[in-house]
Amino acid sequence: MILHTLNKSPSNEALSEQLSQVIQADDQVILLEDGVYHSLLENNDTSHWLGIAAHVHALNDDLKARGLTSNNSAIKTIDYADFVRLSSECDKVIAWY
Amino acid sequence: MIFSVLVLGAPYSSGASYSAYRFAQAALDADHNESHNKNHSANHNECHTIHRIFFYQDGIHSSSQLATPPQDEFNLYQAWQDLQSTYDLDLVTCIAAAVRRGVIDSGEAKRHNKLQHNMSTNFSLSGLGQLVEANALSDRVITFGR
Repeated sequence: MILHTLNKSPSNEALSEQLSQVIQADDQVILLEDGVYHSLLENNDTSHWLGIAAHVHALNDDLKARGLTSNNSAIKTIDYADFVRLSSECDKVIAWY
Repeated sequence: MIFSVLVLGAPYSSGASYSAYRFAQAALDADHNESHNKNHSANHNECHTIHRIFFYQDGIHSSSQLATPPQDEFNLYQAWQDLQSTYDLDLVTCIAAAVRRGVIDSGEAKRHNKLQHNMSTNFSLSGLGQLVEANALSDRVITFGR
């Protein structure tokens, strides 16, 4: 089980595509910084990481800093303590930036 | 659990340094809360330590002592220095990345015949070997990219 962190908005399509190619069904994703813009999307496409990942989380402070609330009910908002906890629960952490 | 953190972005250019700061703070706070409140240890049954925080590429700018943000704004530079002294953290700035960008300590100033130096004494200049060592000795290395 791998934890992927993503800090770029959906406009960086190449990054999303790379993540979609390697992500596994039991992996988790944390959206931080501009990555939280992904929570505006509804994407259940089984070839997109949003449709593949077991759990997708978004950092609440980064959502608030951008005046956003998550539209996507599948994305859970978390704080930094959750980020730390998820980092230790998953076997590896990979950063996409 | 032993964490190390890699910071690749400069304050104001990217969120990397601030996110890394918040992560480090949360990891150390969890540790602190745990030792002081055993009742809540069911969910947080781990003690976290931070082996090293490595500042590389543009991340080195976090170690400048001269950056002076407006007084009514959050001072990330000062926050890193305070976190270092509170927890006695090993904040390492990559020497090759820092010297070429004009962040140098007194030793480098002497070596390169510069009249000034501007690196905070809460940080130390060292090489990439410190990043390799952190990878080898930590359970997780969390990267905060540009």
